[in-house]
Amino acid sequence: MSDEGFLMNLPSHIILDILSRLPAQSILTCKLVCKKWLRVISTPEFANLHLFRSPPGLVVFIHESGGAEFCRLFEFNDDAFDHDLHYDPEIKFELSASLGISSGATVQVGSINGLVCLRNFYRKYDALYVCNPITREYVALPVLDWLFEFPSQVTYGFGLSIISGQYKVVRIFHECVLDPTTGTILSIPKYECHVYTLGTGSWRSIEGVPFAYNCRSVGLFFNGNLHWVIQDLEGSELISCFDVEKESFQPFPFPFPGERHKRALHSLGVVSDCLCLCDNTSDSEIVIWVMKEYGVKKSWIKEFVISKMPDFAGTSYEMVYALKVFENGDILMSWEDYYLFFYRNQSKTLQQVEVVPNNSIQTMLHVPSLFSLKNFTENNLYTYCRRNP
Amino acid sequence: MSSSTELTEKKVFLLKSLDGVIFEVEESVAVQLEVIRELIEGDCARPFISLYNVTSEILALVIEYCKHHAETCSGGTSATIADEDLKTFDNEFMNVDENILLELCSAADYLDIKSLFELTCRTLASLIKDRTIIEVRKMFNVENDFSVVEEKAVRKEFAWAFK
Repeated sequence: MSDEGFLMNLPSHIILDILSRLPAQSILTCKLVCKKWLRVISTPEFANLHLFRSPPGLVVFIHESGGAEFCRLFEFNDDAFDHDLHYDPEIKFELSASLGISSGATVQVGSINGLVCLRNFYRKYDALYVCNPITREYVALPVLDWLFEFPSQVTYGFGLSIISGQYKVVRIFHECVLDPTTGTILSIPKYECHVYTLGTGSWRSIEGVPFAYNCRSVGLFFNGNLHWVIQDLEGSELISCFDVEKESFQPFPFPFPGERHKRALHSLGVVSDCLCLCDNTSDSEIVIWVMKEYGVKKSWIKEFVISKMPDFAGTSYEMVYALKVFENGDILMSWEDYYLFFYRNQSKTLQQVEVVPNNSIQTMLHVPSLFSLKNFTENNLYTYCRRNP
Repeated sequence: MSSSTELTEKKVFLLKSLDGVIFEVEESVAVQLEVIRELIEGDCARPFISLYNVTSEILALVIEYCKHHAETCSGGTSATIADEDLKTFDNEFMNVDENILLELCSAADYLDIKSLFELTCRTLASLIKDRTIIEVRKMFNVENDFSVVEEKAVRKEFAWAFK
């Protein structure tokens, strides 16, 4: 056997191992190399290995001042000195044109295994989509005649049931009655919870929802559960927890770690494989609490206390989200929908990251994957192949 | 032979390449090749071990790699220094011709050396990353066996991704 012949017969498992280490977009290119490679790449085994190896990056929605909305994927290095965010210009697309949305604003609900759940709302109407920015497939979830108007609230979550492997979108609605003078919530006469399992084509109502609270966040998926920071009618904050497998709300260990404050600026996140709570109520510092052992109340630790530099200090009305703690202790965070910034551990300074200047951005951790929405039998499955101008 | 030298004397094994070259390696190096460790444990490693899939050129490199890794790990230096040292060595070691890299990868798979397999796969992936389809075909010496119609169908599915 000649050397060349030997190489031509590189066994499939070696090809699989090499190609599964590539970024998702390079893998698409490799589909055209030869039939053998296409076969290897098309196996579920390959998609799983690739997902397992794929380093998390960011999915960013950019809301330009003119009204256009774009989706972009960012990667970052986890070197000791360099976490530069970079993106592939090919993976950028206009949200509304691609998804056939005519108006309104589009926001992120969640991201799991490369699938992004997003919500478009316009006046009283809501529409939901699940999309894979790499395969450019998306599913438009069926729209029910849900209307909501201030002061009623609606919040969502996107989760994966650990045992049955089902992707679920959860919608929680509260009808609120406000005190006309103070604007605080007096009562919540009606609340509903609906679940949509990807591939089933319909929403189901969940009975007995013990969840009648004020909530301004989307659900954070971690450890098989969706979590929301909520406020009861007395203004006390707590964490609501929804078991995605059992579809039931679970009590979550009390007390809430942060300090009680009328400006409830606590956000949930995941850092170093632990649930975390980022507190931006203080004028002078950002505090990150970490629940070292999931579900154990005594394991909440005040892990990071970050002094705000003058540019960041002062009364804040926005939440700060902790996105990633790097090996050298640097932390990537987002200041609500305004900008991303780094906490530099060595110099103890904060540094704003220019992603796209002068535009509002929304960011979530995202693992790019080749996971196809064709795996689900959905009636409203579309792809958008159009190249961007 | 005195008993003291017997204690310190290192066991050696003989590895024979595809083209008949025999290499002498110490046990600490030989056991890194999982395939050979099994032969040693099964007492099937004498008089020499024939490796039918590896040329002498590649086997020499594989032994160099295993030797350096064995020495660094048993050298008594701190874990962080050893780690740094291995990283530098690995980077240097991967600085070879692409064909050699492919053969090393294939040999690491055959000889079951996990760290070298991982290293070569990672390096090959980083080489593929920014190449065009034609360049990748050339690198792996594979032919385009798609018919025009088939190629068109794949292209259509991911039109945006192909530069």
